[in-house]
Amino acid sequence: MNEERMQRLLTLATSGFLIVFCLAPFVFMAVISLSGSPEFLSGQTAFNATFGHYRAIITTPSLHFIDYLRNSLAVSAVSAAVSTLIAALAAYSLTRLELPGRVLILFLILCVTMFPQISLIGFLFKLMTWLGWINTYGALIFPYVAWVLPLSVWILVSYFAQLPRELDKAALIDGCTRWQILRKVIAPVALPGILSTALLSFIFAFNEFMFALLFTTDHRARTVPVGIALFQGLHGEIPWGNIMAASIVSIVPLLILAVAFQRHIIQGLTRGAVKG
Amino acid sequence: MILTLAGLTKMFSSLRGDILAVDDVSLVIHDRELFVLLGPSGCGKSTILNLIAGLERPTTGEIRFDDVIVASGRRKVFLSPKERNVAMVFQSYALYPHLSVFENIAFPLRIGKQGATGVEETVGEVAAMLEISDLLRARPAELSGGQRQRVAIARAIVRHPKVFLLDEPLSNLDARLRLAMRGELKNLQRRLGITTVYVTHDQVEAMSLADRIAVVRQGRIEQVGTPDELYNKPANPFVATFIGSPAINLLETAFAEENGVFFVVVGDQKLRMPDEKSEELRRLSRNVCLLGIRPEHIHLDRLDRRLSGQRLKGRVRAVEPLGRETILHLEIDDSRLTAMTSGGELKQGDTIEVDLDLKRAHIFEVPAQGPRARQ
Amino acid sequence: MRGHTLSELREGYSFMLPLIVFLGCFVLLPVVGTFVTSVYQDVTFLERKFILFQNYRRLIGDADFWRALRFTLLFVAVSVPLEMLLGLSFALLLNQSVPLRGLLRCCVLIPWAIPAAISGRTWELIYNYNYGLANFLLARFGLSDEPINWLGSSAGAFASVVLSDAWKTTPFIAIILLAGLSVIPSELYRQAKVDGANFLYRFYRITVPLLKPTIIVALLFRTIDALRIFDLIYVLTHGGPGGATTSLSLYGYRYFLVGDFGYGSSISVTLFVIALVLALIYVRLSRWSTELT
Repeated sequence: MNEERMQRLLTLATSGFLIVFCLAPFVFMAVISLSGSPEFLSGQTAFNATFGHYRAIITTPSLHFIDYLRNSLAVSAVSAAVSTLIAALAAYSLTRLELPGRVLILFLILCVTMFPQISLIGFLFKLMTWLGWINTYGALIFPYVAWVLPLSVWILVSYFAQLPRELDKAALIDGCTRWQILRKVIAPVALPGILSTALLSFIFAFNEFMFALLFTTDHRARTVPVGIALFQGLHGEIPWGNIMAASIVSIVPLLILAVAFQRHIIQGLTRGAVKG
Repeated sequence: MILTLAGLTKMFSSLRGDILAVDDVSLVIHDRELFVLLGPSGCGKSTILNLIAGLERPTTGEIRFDDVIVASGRRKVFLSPKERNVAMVFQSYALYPHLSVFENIAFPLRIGKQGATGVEETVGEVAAMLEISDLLRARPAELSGGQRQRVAIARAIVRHPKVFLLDEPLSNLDARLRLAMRGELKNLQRRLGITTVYVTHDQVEAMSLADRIAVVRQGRIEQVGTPDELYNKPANPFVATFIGSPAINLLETAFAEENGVFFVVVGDQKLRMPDEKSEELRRLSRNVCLLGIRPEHIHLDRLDRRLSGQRLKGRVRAVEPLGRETILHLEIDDSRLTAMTSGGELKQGDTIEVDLDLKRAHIFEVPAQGPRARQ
Repeated sequence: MRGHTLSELREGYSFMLPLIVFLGCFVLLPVVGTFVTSVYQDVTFLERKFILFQNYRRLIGDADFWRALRFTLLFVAVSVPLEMLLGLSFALLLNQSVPLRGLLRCCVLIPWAIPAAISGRTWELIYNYNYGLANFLLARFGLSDEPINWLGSSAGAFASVVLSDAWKTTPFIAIILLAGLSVIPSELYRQAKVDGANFLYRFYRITVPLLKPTIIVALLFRTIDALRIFDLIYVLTHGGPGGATTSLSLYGYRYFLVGDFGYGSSISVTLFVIALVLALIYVRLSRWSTELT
């Protein structure tokens, strides 16, 4: 049939476009990271395959790449863990306890996801300065937790709301306190939801840029996105090979997470959004 | 243990207004009794169960376990389910999907007292009683509906509760399994001797299980009694219709007294009422009544010798053969009746003679018409 | 109220307490603080002074502010529709039972997972005048005689930002729309096929109307997100050339960076209000569309 063939052709073309569109910059990043001379596309130099950039960023302490990576991983992991825990508590109370004001709180949370980051940063900068937290993990972790919380709560509310109420009733009858119900029944049963919430929070925290840019001043707290954004060479020219190698190394953990937990992430993202 | 509900009321408030889910319910449930709350869905029977369990708080009224007040609207007493030591089986079973069968049954023991000893033996005993010893390592998802049901019951009785509460426990099972479990549940209840409250919308289940039944409708109790009493002496048309299948025939008929003898009008024909019904008819406020006649009390064999001589002319509208018996839908002038017979020789359109066993008829007041028929 | 006792309320709210504390201290309080600061002259090393609307009056006369505002709105107006179209076509593709669908889904997640600041550096290299991939491909396929000065011209920089942003955010739209598509019952399509409706007709009569609520949600999220664009521009163009791609976020950030908190705050408040207004419009729109159907 004519229509079917056309549709198949269209599908094939879109698939091809999707793959090229999504992967090309990533592949280019990888290629440059392995090239001794990033100008090779101009035709004046050869490709010169090398692992030198990877070696450089890992073994040169003055580049601080390993520091950035450690900071990013630590800050994102702690933020994700704390925000998921807080979100789980809140989501349990929002879905189960029918407290007065819960609709208001859900609405407020939805509003917060719309806030521009710039409208927080002036006050937060002063706050962090006043606390003496500038250039420490605390300056990032606290705002990050608050920043990813609305999303985490939203996702977990949609997961928890799905679990049958009779589970709670059974646990109450069996003698659980509310806290025990959350810890021993709801959390284990909603584990996939909690996992996707934690993953998304981690990725969001890892992606964050503006807070990290303003609240950190050097390698003691600076995260990878800021580190890479500000990566400069010693003599003015941009060290493309090093930047690309650093980019690859720092996004590999993210990509592994994204691919391995593809289903969870997609589910979490759509729950965070479609339910709105 | 004796379970007393006194003037129990539960009001739910929502944005759309207040809903009176339980309306002034008073009951005394005897020690070791299997008591059934029967009613259509949404009638408030599950709310009553939740109030007994301590999952809901009464708006007014009191609940007593023997002499202990476990909940009181007025005195602000409210014991948690744990403090009341109740057990409950849910329609969906509500097994913990992440725990093995063993851990599911052990759950109330482990929560109850930290590091309880003898958990394994206790779980083993209960599992043996319910014949699920070989399933202890399985997860709930791997079990059949009937097996899940047994696990839910095992989890409920493992703590030796004071009251055993069951909320539609059999409605998720298929028909055959339901029948088997019904018998087993009754045996188990007898053996354990625990005061039990059982909620169902299925009148057959209620009749076969219960020591006594309370029929609930729109938050109120319509009648309390043994299955026999409810069937043979229904207090009102609702109870009469709700119990018995096929449902009772309710005919709105005029009646008149002539020389101390009462006559009712069915279709276009006048029938003499037996003398023992006169008292009941005389008590009615108007000259109309609802005449309730169960399908099995309508005789229609053409040659039946038991007929009382007051025959009505009728026509067969439809025949539903069920095997052992046959349900007949009859038309007598403009009244429609359902009858049950063992003979299967009648066909649609046959004209027959019908005899109503008026000695066994129920007489009710015609409820007031209009929107406030019954709140 | 369902007749909670005091202790139940205390327990219930204690579950919510950490959330309220974190949101209060690190989101709500800062927003309020920004509103307050915006009516002060608040510059580092200077005395804080209440000046009411003078910061806003300064905004009105600030040509750079207007350019940033114009760029931001233009960016939203161009990038969001483009990303919606791309995202919708990806979603339609991923909703079909094509071979390697799992692989395609993974591909889609890659741009989403990479931080914009990191991919921004790669885009910077791609747009490089002398040895970037973009000009190499243009020359290779004979599409342009001259290499394009991507980041050095206003139009080129704008196009670069839009394209890079589309790469990063299209996947998010695709994933959300995919979720909306997957709940449309396939019987509808089969029925329409039986009735002889062709592909386009099915798309306009089944897919679009049923997907509309999801589309509006995706639009809302994307619009708000595009409105506050910062990371990509900071890395890719630094707001240049000559301020041509300076977004409101970046413009405000610069003032915070130099310590002019009062003026920076008034810029932030402006952006906040614009986001709020747009969000309200979308909410209206979605209510309106659900009332119609």
